[in-house]
Amino acid sequence: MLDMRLISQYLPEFFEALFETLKVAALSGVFALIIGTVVGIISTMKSKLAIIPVGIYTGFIRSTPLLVQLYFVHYGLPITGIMLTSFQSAIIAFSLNSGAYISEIVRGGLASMDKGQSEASRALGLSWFQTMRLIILPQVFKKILPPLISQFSYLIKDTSLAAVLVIPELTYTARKIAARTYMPFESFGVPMLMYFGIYLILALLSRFISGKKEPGRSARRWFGFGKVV
Amino acid sequence: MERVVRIRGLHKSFGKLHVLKNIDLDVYESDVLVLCGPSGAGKSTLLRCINMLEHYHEGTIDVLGKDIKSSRANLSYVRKNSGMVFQHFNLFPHISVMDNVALAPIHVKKIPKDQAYEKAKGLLDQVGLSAKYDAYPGQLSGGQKQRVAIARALAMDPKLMLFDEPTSALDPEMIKEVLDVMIKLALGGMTMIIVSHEMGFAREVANKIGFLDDGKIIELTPKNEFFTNPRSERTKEFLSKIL
Ligand SMILES: Nc1ncnc2c1ncn2[C@@H]1O[C@H](COP(=O)(O)OP(=O)(O)OP(=O)(O)O)[C@@H](O)[C@H]1O
Ligand SMILES: [Mg+2]
Repeated sequence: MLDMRLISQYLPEFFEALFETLKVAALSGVFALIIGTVVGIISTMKSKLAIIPVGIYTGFIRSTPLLVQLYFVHYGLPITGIMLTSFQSAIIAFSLNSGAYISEIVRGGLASMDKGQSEASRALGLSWFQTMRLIILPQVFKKILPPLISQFSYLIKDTSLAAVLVIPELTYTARKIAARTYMPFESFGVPMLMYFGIYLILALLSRFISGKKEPGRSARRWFGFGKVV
Repeated sequence: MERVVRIRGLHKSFGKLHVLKNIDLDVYESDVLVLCGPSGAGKSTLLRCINMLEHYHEGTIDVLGKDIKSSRANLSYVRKNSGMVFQHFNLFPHISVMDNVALAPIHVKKIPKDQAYEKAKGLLDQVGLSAKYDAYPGQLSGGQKQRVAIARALAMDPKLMLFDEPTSALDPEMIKEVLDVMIKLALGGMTMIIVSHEMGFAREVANKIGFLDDGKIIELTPKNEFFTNPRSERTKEFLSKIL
């Protein structure tokens, strides 16, 4: 039987952990968006000097496990003199990881832009930076919002790895409560529902944003995200 | 009269394709120059070199007395003081018609917002779009879009307007509304370079007509002479096809 008394007793602690999870995800998400935008823009440039480092960065991130990246930042970097708290390490690892994926989304969005937009801007005398800020990026972000939201939902799930650095987020807290109460079903069931709830909210948001363009009554309609660019 | 554009010995290639071959061209204040010629002759490329949307390899282009290649400041001066209208409009779809027109004055010329919007309204009235201030480009017809594009270019108070086939993406019934706006501009003394196949329009407003073929200006003559007494065989051939 489900032990409701136990669940309600630990619920405040779970919510605190959920808040920690969202904090890690939101902070990493903001940094990842900045990294992804800058790297995405660089990756559309023609110069090899720009493209090669970007290729190494995204290639490295995509081809190695996030858990190892997390360990590397937290336990590897101190060798070079960079000492980080668990929280800082997690934010850095998640930002770099998510940033690499976002950069490819941004690059795709930039590539899909009509060349006429930047030509019209330049002909009006706008600088490169103004053209990006006022004309190109607003259109790109509108277009890539659904895949960005879905990337963010992966990021939220990925933050569970922060448990290995003893950050009191949802997964770590669940493990702690399970060990304390010997009730693994409830202890891991509650966070599962919480992760699912966030995912559902994001999926609905994404569906709302991408409008009613994609009709269909399948489960994908509710649980899948809108079409990627 | 003041010279607005001076081109000497211009060459431009795309890879191995030699597109512009030793172009010389002078355009003076209040000139309305219509450039015509067969597809692939290099008309668009020539026009786009004038505000350096295309980089060129050889030759010099002075616009408004400034060599556009010699410094960034010169190029930026020329872009601020010239307007361009494209075949496919290239309006900014994410902002309103008013914002399209006011954007460059606000961000490039740093004009106060309320002044820029006042001016945008005036220009939109002038091109017959008083009812569309708050519309988005996606809600307009092709002819309306092109008129917004003209207003957008005029908002910078250009001393030179460049048009690249401004009516060739339009349905026939919308061509006139755009040409009418251009005629008004020409009559107002605007210096214009227009790539166009609208020979009727050229007859009405151009004072000079240039004929390009295979990357060369074959003929550049006052309008009347062009139609009545073309110098080269190529021009005669071309005219017989399109008139
Ligand atoms: N970006 C480019 N890259 C490679 N080749 C190009 C490019 N732009 C134009 N060209 C080539 O240069 C030549 C001249 O093109 P341009 O667009 O200037 O011709 P045009 O006279 O404007 O023709 P149209 O009447 O069809 O518009 C053509 O052969 C074209 O294929
Ligand atoms: Mg052309």
